[in-house]
Amino acid sequence: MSAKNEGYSEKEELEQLRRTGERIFGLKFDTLERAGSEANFIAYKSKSLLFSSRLDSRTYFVQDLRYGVGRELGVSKASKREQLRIGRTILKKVGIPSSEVAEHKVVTEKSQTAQVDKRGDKVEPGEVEGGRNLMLISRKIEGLPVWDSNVVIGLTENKQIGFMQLHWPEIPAHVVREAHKLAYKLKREWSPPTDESASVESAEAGITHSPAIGFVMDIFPAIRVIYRSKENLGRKKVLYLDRHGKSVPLPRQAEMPFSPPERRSPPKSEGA
Amino acid sequence: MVIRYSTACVKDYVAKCGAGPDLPLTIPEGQNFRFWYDMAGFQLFTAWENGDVWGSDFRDAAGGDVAADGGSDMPDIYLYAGHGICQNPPKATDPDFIVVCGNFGKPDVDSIGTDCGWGNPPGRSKFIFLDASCPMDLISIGNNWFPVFRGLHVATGNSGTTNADTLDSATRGGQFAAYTAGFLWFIPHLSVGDAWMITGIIDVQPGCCAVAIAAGNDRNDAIDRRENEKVTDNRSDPTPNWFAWKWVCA
Repeated sequence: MSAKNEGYSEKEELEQLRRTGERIFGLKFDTLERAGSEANFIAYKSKSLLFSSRLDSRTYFVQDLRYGVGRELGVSKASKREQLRIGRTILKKVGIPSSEVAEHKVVTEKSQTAQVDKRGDKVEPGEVEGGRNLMLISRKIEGLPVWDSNVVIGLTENKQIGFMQLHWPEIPAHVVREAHKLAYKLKREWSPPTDESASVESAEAGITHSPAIGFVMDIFPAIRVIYRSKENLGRKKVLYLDRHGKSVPLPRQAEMPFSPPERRSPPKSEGA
Repeated sequence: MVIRYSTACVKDYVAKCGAGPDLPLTIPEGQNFRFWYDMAGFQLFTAWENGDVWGSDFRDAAGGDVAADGGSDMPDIYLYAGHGICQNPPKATDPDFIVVCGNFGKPDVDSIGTDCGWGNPPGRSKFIFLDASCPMDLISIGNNWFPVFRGLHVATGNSGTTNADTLDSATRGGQFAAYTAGFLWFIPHLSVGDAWMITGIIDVQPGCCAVAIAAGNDRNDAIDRRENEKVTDNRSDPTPNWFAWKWVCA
């Protein structure tokens, strides 16, 4: 093999991954436990730290086992402004343009405890406490939402990455173009299908794709229609439709084995 | 250790029950959930859909939840995906609901706080995941959720209103399963509580919260389970003297 092709070897690929972890995400690996590729992932795992990346998408995961409430590296107490600054720096280093950031915010986990008295009829709740701060970043392309792209980052007390899911796949130009056409049609000539049991709450053109953890990557332009139940039932119905009003395929997480549904036998006595 | 799990996913409401709308993404959500847990080697107990999910599957008093053909208190892990009911806004005295459309086992609506009880007798369900709508409102968590822990370890759900609700999603349950299954060395293995804080806010409206609650023998035990318990831990059942819960809002 020529020296020129060495960059395609798995050894070099793993070395690049390690460098990406250290230089872009500031990771400090301790004793190496395992490194290699499996399925559509490549990963570098040390005693405390996992850093992995998908081979078919701009998708990274970081997990530091020492991060979290009550754990060795704790959780960030930095100001939201400081955390957002760190987030912007990470995005820039990864090559994500700021124009693709739809919303960038920090949300704080809250926690509470309560003791139930011996008779079980009295509750004594404690104070609400703060937990992890999670940076959440959502995506748009040319003004179109990309619903399944996101970044979630939790920082340790010393502002290192304790957890990260960065899922920001490349979107083909023809998908963006069709999404623009859907937005155009939605404004002028396209009406969402009606549902007798629900009213249309919103309709918006955008892009849907497979989620962060998965073995395949599907990407589709779609109009997302959200319905509100007339009977006040919650978990709102959502349809992802194409320009003809037909459902687009659901972005897959994996190839699903086909298993025909079984039928359940009636109970021996009603109300059982 | 064999981990047994069930999924119960309801898409069809309108044709048979006259209320709705239907929820077409619950069925693929269950498929995605099962894919990861099957890969992890967990043993599928039941995977009922639509009319084969019965209201009685969740009711403790009449023993429906320990029915051998699909009670929610039979496996170690139980996922429900379907309708619930949100209030706008909820009050501390408002119930939380599971709403199915069953062929049998009527009625279809269960009030969690009064109808359900998980983890009894000992060794029954350890983890309950309700991917419905507002099944775990924070303001009423003491009334609706403390009583149902009868050996149950950790439960997850959402808190919201009719304007800050969960959306029907094929993604949420599968990603939660992928993070909690813990069989692939290159994917982070998270505790139930931490995984739901990441995945419970997928496909929800702004203001909707992901909630995870754990019981413990004492305060430290409850907090430890909330923060650290994994579905693969094989921990013993807690005595629910203390509760610890956490939430994050989109």
